[in-house]
Amino acid sequence: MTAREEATGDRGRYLSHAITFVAVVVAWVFFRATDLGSAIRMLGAMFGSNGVQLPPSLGSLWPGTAVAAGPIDSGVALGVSAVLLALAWFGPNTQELTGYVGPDGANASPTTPRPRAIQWQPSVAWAVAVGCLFGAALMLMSKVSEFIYFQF
Amino acid sequence: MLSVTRSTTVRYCVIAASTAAALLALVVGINLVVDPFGTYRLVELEGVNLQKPAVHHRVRLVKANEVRQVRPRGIVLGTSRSHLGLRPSHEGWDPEARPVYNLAFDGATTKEMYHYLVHAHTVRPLRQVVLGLDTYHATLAPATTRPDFDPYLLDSPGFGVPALIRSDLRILSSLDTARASLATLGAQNDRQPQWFAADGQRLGDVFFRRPGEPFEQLGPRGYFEEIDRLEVGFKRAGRLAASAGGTARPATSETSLDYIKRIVAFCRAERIDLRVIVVPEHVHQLEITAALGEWRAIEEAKRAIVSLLTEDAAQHPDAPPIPLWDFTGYSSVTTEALPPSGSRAEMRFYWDSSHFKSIVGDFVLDRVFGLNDGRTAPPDFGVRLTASTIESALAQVRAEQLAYRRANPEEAAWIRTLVEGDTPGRRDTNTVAVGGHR
Repeated sequence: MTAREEATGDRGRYLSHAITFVAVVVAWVFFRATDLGSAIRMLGAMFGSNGVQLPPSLGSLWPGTAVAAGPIDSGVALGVSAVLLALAWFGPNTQELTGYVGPDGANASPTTPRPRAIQWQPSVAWAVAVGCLFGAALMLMSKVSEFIYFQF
Repeated sequence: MLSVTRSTTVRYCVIAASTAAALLALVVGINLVVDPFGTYRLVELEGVNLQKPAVHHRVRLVKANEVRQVRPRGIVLGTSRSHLGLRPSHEGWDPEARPVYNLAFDGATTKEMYHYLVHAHTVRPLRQVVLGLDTYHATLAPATTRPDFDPYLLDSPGFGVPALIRSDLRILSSLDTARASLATLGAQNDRQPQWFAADGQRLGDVFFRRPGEPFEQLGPRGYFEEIDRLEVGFKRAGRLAASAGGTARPATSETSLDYIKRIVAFCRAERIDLRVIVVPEHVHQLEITAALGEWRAIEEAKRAIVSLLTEDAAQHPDAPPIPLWDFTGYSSVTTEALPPSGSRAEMRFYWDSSHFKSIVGDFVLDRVFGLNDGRTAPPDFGVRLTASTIESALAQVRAEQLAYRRANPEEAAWIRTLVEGDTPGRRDTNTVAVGGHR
């Protein structure tokens, strides 16, 4: 494969990723909405039919853009979402971590193999890391919610 | 594909499991020692965990645990109004019902009250209960719970999983508890006055007078008016939510009124002396409700409570009927005048239009328990509602309402402008209504 062909293949793959992602995000709305009308209204809002407002903490980034009023600042949530999106798109998936290829390599990753450093090994370090993740997951299962509302 | 032997797999799993267990044990140990919610009090060290600010925002959890420690035989159920105003130490409680614990908490729904009633009775059989209802409780709105309601914290007959697992270990191993422990460790120099009494009552004299509290900053009058503004928003939001949901509800869902019935039925079945009251909110709350066009809902709520208690009495002719006392209306207590504008004088009976002071709570319990211990509740404060008195009582309130509006045109106008949205930032007593927006 020539360099040009490889570059075109990469661009095509990234484009297909983006199209698939947008299609799934749109489809999720219909699964989650109570009815078709609500779904369409939600999609309209997602694509800006109700206008666009920045969270207060990001208001200075795009002067002239409306800033949301109200007690909730979603700036941190947007930042976290961006990091998680990058992780989902560019981080290794479980097949790449474990080197699982499936029967006859049917599930092998089409991309260049990831560096060995991030491949799962049955080592003490990986066992401790996974144990910590498991413990953290158990800790997150129990919520002790707050209620901050004196009025009634 | 990586090749793994059986021994490697076993070693890997043992290490991973041991790491998880060690992490959880560490977190449980830290949470047990710091004890951010005051559940165990095994170790109390100055500068480490003596101050427990996390308690104040997790009252449902704290009270569920305190019931196990106090083991009350008498309880108060209700919202923040009863939490503030009704004394477990009142002289009128049945001596057989002591110790008494105020199990009311902010925003309590009837569903939550029912579950906490069962919890308290499971811990130790109850003798006496005072149920403080707000008028919005006796409706056909779906029964709900608040975000921090957790049924696994509560005991009930037949709950198979021991509290040690479903409550203690679960809470101690929670990341939220770990966060609360860290916050507790960091808050030891921030000494807040303790408003949470050992008998469960919120001490208004401490709570409202904390430095930085809106009551102190705005003054009693300013705070009262601010609560009125918030109340308009709350009631409007509640009305919008009810209309958005429509009148149809799933056939299997229970309503808020259904849970009042459950409370009544439970107390009957367990031979608990139940006294029901409609708590005495200031008339500004009634005027706001009327201005929003919801007056009929108040009357329907009272009729609904009377109806279910009448039905209960008919089903139990050999037992005394469960009394219902209505302390809302336009009495000399609930129509207490606000302090003059600019004054920092406090009201005698109210902290704000929603929350009455303990002196009013004592008047309430004096009536409910038939006690006259040197205090004299105003004769126009409180009426016993029955099937034979309800309609005349409601007519009386309507007449008193008209009289109040004639005698207090400024108050009535202020409420109307508040509801209509054309209200000034702070009230000018020389102005009845001001156009424009805040």
